[in-house]
Parts: sequence; structure tokens; C-alpha cells
Amino acid sequence: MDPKITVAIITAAATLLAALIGKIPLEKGLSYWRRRESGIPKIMGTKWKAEWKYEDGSPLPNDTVTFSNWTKNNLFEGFGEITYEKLYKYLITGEVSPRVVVLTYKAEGYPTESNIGTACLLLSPDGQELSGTWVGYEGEKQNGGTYAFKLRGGNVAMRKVKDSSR
Amino acid sequence: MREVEKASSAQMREVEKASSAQMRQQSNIPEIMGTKWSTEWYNADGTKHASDEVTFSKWTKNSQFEGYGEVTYGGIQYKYSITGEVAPSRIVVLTYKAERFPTEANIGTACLELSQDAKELNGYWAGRTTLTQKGQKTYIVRSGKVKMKEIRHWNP
Repeated sequence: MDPKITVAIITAAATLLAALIGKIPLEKGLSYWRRRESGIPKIMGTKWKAEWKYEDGSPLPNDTVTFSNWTKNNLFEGFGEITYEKLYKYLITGEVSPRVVVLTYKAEGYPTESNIGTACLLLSPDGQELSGTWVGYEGEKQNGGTYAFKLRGGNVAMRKVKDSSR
Repeated sequence: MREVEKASSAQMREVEKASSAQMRQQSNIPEIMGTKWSTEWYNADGTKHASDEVTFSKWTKNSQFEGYGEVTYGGIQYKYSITGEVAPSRIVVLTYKAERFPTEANIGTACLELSQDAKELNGYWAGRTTLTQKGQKTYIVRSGKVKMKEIRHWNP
């Protein structure tokens, strides 16, 4: 028998055995295979400098967004970090399709109450930039120091600043 | 042995369901599952992008839910999946995914505010759409307003 075929059979049998005895989480392996088959870009383990702007072009405080890990198939989780008088960390969950990243962010206690919103971003062909639009429930500081919350939106542009997946 | 395992996992699901319901009640999450909404999607310039019907089917965990949309395009009805979350602030965020609609996968998000009487949802959407120019297909992210009106309510 061709030695290459023998090696392939042994490797396949070893993988199957490892999966059966739980050395490799089967679900993780299947998710990886599904992403590979669907051409999902590998963007976990990356950090992005994000610039959020309102519809009128006025900027929000800049922040960084980290895509941490895949949860299942092409779903992922991550977090954002923003300095607004102090450093706030907010949760991100999302989904990656071959060129589009959709995400939901949730920031409890930022700046005084919970914020929630979504973004839909297009990944550049070189995988270094993400650009798109966001919509979220935003607090606007009033004269009395209180916050009026309403739905606001605008553009968002992200540039990759760190890639620890390589 | 298998019967015991089945009963135990069914009990676990019931406990998780009850705990999620309690979480929603304590956080004042509006009960909007088992509802169908007539939906109008607009482009940024105000022109109509699409009209369809959206159903919020059931809670999955805590304030997260799943549902689906139904749209007729070229005489054929397409069904697309929706997952989302309802916040105590009456904000509904959702992700929709339409595979092969009409020919390839579309994906997008929406963020909506629920009216006080819980009969309307108004907000914005952003998603990937296909643009065909001179026979060439390009993918762009478009956005605009979205308006929903409740047309049916039943117990999920």
C-alpha cells in the first residue's frame, strides 16, 4: 500500500479515536470544519481600533474592540474597551459571514445606564479593515446632568491593530 | 439508565426555562414572544427596500429569542431566521440571516424601540445587500429605517 495512504488512514483513525475518547471536543472540530468549508475569515484573536461616528459625522469616544473566540460555528464573542471619564469594558457577541461581520454590543452601566446596540460591517479584502454602520440606544447628557436615551446611529470604521491568531 | 438520563435532562431544561422566565420578570423584559409583525424596511434615502412579516417565536435563554421572517420575492416565499435579544429599556436587537435569498446569503442587524403599548417597533437596520451594475454583482452594506406593527399575538 502507498505509504501516503497508510499515513492518511492512521491519522484519520487516530483523530476519530481521540474524538471518541474526548481528547478533541467534537463540536469544536465540526465548527472549525464548517467555518473552513464556508470560507469564514479567521478574525478571532484580533484587536481593532474603532472609530464610531454619529449620523451627523460628530465622533464618539474612540475605543478598541477585541474579537476573542468562536463560540459555535461562525458565532463569536469578544469585548470592547472605552475610556469615558473612566475605562469601561463592554460585551460583544456576533457572527461572521464570508465578508460581513454583524455584532451586538451590550454595555452595562455606561455611562450611567445600560446601552445596547448593533453594527454591521464589511471586511476589506486584505482583512485589515472593517467598515459599516451602527445603531444603538445612546444616552445624551442634558443640561441638568441627566441622560436622555434614544436610538442613534452612524458609521463605524475599524482598523486591525493586533493579531495574536498567527 | 437511558430513561433516567432523559428524565434528568428534561428536568434540567425545565429548571433553566423557569430561571430564564424569572430573570425576564425581574428585569422587566417585555413579553413579545408569540407575536407576528408587519414590517417595512426603508433605504437611507427613504425609498422602500422591502415589506415582509416577522415572527418572534420563543425565548431561548434569558432575554434572548429566536424567530423568523417571511418575504415574497418574485412570487416565491422565502423564510429567513432571526435571533435577538430584548433589553429592559424596551430595545430589541436582532440579527437576520437569509440563506440563498434570493440567490445568495444576506445577513444584517436591526435595533428597534418598542412603543409603550407594545404594538409598534421602530428603529434602524443595516445589512449586506447585493447590487448588480452592468451585470456585475457587488456586495454593499446598506442601512435605513425599519417599522413594525403587531398583527397577531398568541401564547407561545
